[in-house]
Amino acid sequence: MLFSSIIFLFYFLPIVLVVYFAIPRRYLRARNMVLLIASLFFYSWGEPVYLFLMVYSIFFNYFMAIQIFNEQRRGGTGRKNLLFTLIINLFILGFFKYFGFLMDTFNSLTGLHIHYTALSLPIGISFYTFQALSYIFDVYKKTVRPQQNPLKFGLYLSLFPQLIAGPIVKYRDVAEQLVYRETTKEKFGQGAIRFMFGLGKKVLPANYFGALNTGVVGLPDSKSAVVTAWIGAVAYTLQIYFDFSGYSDMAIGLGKMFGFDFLENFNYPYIARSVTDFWRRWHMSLSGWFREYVYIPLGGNRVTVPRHILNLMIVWGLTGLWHGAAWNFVFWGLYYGVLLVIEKYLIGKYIAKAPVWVQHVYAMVIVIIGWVFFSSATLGKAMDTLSIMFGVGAPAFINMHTIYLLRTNILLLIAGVLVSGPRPMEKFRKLEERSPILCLVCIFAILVLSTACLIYSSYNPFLYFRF
Amino acid sequence: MKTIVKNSSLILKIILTAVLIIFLLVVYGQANAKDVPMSTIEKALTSSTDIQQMHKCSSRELMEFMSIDASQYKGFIYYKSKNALGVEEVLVLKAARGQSLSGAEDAAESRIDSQITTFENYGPEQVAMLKNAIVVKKGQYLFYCTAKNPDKYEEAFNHVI
Repeated sequence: MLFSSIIFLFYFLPIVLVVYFAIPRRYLRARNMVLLIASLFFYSWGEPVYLFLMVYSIFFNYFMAIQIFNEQRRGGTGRKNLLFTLIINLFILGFFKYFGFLMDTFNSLTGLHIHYTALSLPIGISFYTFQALSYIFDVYKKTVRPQQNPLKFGLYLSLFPQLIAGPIVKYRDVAEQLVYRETTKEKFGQGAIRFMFGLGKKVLPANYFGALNTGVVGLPDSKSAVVTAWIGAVAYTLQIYFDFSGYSDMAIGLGKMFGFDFLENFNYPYIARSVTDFWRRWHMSLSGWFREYVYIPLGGNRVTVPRHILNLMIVWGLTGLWHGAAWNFVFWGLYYGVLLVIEKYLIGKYIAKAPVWVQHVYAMVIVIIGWVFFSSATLGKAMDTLSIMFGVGAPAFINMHTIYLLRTNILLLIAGVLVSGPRPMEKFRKLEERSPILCLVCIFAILVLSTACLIYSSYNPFLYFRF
Repeated sequence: MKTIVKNSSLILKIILTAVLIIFLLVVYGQANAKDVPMSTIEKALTSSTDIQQMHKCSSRELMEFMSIDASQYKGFIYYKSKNALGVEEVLVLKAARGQSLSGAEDAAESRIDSQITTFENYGPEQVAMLKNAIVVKKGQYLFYCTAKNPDKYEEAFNHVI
């Protein structure tokens, strides 16, 4: 089920809210049970067969965390149990996500044509597997005690607001909220506003820029031009930001409505002044996960320079692979690994001294090029698009179609760039203090417009659902 | 005591692993489908069904009638009745590796529901056909058919994949 769907907005969510708030605040267990049932129903929508996988993951990780804890209490290290848990979780993820990729790679390397069936990816598997692993690692490191109640652990892993596209919530960040959480009118209101902003981001700009990018990508070679290719790449850059940050806003907003406080996942990444800065602002829950559970255990930066470079490349190779089972994603990850190494050891100090606008342009050009690798179906197609963007093999620098695209989209592209920064939200906050009624009108307008678009649009999933 | 705890834990781990493997084998077995070109599927449907009596639709028509964006998928075959009051239609959609088909499945189900709403007061024959419609997922493919004998179409589809 999608957040941006009529069935979620006008049936599922209102029913869950009514049932949840009909239960008095003191019966938190009953409220948790409502959320758990709702989350499992939400997950089973569309792919009921994979509900088994979710329930399995809940019981398996619940049981193994207790095993690790008990073994450590008996004087053992818990390492074998940790390894077993890690293998099973990664095996499930690998089976669904990487089996086809491995078979394709094997077939192309050996020249064989072994037949296989690539299964459809259980939605959100990468997210909930990483949440389960963070819990297991934290229990192993004794950062948290294992949850004794399987229903509470089940709620942590399956909580529908963040279940299918993050943010990746660490158990320790919500452990207390599973036992006690505040649900106030103010918090509910803040959550609802955040949710509607997220919905607006997804349904209005993300879908609009998505359509623009699709139009450019689908152009025949004869109609392509350097500027047209850049328009497509910029459109995708805006699409993925509004799409994914819109989803995160909806997830955080929904969480708030039910009393949960999730950590932020985005901090205006397109105002970054360097690649390092960009990754401190983009998908923060994923970068935080890799930093804590891969980069630091590998030694982080407290090692020799060659080892540090290797650590960075491992982390970024894995980050790329997490996003998708294809070489273009691996390349995209390594691209950032290399750039971060260059920034850290070679050009970082010069960039820091450059004028602010140079820093922004530098960061954004790298990010836009990165999204070309990310959005292309294959590495070859990414290289073709980049060639055109840099004038290699492009039939023209600019043509009639480019002028048409610019004339029909330039204002919205500029608006998209402006809205992706912090200013509009700062202005909204000020307006909220001065004229709350006007703010309500704005939010209501966003909701009405989004609903109208949803009714007349086709099925349009979030980009990050495929991860 | 320690040995009993260790053994029961080991047994539980073996059971959990076995359950997982059985589930994966079942899911894989059910989803098993050959990766064949759309043209092969179309040829099979053309040779063993009445699909040619229908109109072959473009991606624009796929969007118009099924609300499915063809550019999101690897390929499609969409035929629709030539008759304005006909509800017969056949759709085969191929997803990219690992791509979910649940959205397309929802679209097919919505199409059936909306067609039933349209015809329910004056088209009993059409409604009966719609209620007998088939929507199945197999591997990377989604198959949807509303026809007098949808099983015949499904059989041709199943045979080729």
